[in-house]
Amino acid sequence: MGVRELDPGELRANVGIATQDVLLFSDTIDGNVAFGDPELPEDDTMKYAKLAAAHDFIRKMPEGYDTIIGERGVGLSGGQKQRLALARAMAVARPILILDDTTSAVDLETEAHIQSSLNRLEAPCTKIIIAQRISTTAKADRILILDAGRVIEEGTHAELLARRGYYYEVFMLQNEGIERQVAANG
Amino acid sequence: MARNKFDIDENLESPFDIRHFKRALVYIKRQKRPMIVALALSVLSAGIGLTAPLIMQHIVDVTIPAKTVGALVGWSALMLATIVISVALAAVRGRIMTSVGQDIIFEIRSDLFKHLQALSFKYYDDRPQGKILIRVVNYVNSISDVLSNGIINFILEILNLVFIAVFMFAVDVKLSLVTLAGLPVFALFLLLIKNKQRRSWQAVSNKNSNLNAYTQESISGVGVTQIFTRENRNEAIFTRLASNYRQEWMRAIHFNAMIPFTVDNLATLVTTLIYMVGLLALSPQDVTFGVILAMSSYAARFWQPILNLSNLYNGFVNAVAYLERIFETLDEPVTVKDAPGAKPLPPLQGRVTFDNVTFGYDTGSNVLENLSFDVRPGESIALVGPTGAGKTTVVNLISRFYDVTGGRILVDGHDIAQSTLQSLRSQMGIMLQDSFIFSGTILDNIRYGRLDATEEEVIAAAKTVRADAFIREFENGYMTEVNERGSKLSQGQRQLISFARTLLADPRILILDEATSSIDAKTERLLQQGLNELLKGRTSFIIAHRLSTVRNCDRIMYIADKGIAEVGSHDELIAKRGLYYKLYTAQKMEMVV
Repeated sequence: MGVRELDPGELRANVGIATQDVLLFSDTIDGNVAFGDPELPEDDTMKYAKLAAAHDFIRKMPEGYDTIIGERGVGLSGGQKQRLALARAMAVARPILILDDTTSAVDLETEAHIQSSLNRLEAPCTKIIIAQRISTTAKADRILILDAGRVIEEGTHAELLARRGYYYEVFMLQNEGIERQVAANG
Repeated sequence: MARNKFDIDENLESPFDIRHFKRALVYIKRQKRPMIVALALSVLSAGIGLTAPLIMQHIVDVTIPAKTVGALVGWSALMLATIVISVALAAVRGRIMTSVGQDIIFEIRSDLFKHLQALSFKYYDDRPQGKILIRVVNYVNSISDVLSNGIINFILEILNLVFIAVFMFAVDVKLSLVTLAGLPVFALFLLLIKNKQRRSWQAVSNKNSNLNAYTQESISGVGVTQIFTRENRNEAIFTRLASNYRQEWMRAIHFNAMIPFTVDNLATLVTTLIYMVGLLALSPQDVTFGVILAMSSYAARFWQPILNLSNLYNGFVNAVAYLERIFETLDEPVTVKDAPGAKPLPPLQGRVTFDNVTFGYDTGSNVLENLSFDVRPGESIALVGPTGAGKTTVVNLISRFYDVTGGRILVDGHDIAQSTLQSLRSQMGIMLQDSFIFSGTILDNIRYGRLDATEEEVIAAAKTVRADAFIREFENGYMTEVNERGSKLSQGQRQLISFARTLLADPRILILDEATSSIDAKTERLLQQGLNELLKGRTSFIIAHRLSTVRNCDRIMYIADKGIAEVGSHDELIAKRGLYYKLYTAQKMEMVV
């Protein structure tokens, strides 16, 4: 069924999105994570915050989950905001989850944690992940490379690397140095 | 004050302070001349208006019996003239006072805006924007009439009151005292409801502020609302806030309405008293019935200005609720400001020293503790570490967006706390993840870095940071119009433009906070070349997660646990096999072929 034929409200009720431009509200952390479902039990808020690797920094805040964060998430770092947006998107537990460059400002260790969380989500869920970093996309079932609105490459991480095309080039660019350094010292 | 959200009232605990009104008088005094003119015009207009009945009397008693047509036309024309002049003067007064009111709010608003621009990030971090906006726009509007016409009418009504009182006492002192007996009762009543009335108008301003904050936030966050299909819920919140406002308004109006009601009843009561005292207590020798009639009529006239004054009083109490908020904002201390005797920094070499720096956004929890390091001029420093460890805090402290809680930060040996903000920030370049593009041409956008740069200089800067090639691909090249959201440009292109802009400004110290994090891989190589050019000879602090950006830096600081956990060059840190090594081997991926 074409998305145009669906009622926008009904369509959106099936999609969870964390956008590139994180917009949070002047509310408690709990209220922000439970934005899509205000009746969400506190335990669940915490569960999703843990999945989004946000629990640790939230716990350290003066009032934990009840800390009021400023409008647009002022007072939080770029990576912290992104993780709250991620928790918010996961908390609605919808069949489709879209992550639009949601981990660009998150360090790599945290990102690895988030990726394993995404695989552990309870409900079956289609994940569409938009990213510039190969580390973000590597574990995906399928990777699409878009250029000017067209798919120019498609496949798994391994397949795309074997193709030695655009994806491979980016991979080499982003890994430049690591291989060399690790090899030299390892 | 704790951080505020949209549905928390910003309570003002201080008792009513007459100084608020005195401070408002400062603005009013600047309008002294037009206000005196307006007052004179009012008196003149009223005086001329009063001559009409006299002329009428003269026409009826003298001119008509004399049957002189010429005189009748003359007197009639004069009477018409008095009415026209009186109305014209009133109109001129209205115009003057509108302009006085607008001038007053113009000045208050300008002062508010000037002050808001000086306030630190913390002020903005702590409250929704809508609550700040409403003070500058709506609250200031609400006080214009009270501070202009309100003052004039107040003076006029007092004059009127004195005038009638003099007449009244001239006729009969005893009955005049009876009329005045209502005043202490009225004063007592005002005293009784004063606090409730003030609180209720404060509540109105709070609820109005909450409603405004929520509306504003809902508009800027409408995308998120639609994504999460939360429209119904938000509507319920909005309805609650709007009905809270309505409820408080009705309560405040209830107190306001009680005042004229009391005045009217007191006036009636006093009139009754005059009859009773006049007829029963005083002998007919003392007061004739004519005197009693005259006095009851004066009593009614005496209480009319009091009724008008009480309406002005209502307006005044209402305005005070807004004035308090306006002055509260104006009194908000500017935390980051030039220290007394602050000196401008000389042209900088770019040495940056942290000397035992401790800092926390909120008292009690420090983000950084006893941080010390020294950066040579021209050195590039990468700040890495877990998100939220304080990387952005370090760079915010260097640009003095916040002041350190303990220790010192020195630039070329000068304590930045003792230097002027302007001389510090004008020698720094700060680039964030989202580079701001103004509406205008690409040329204008680059030239923003230094307004007197020639076109050649702009192009040279763009070439240096590798922006020239993509700009020339546009049909209109450097003259291509771009808009605020920069939608014609990719993130990477916007970033390159911002590099060119910064290069043109030629700062000594550069800060890049995740400036390269959402750039597509194709642009990345270009960006890296552009960045290398930009960094040449400048001290730089770079926050990045990308290895390609970080590894070229002279030194890498791993920020964790409120300080520097590891520091060294990329090679040194990799060899050390510590936190940095761990962080970046996480990025290493298997070549599954």
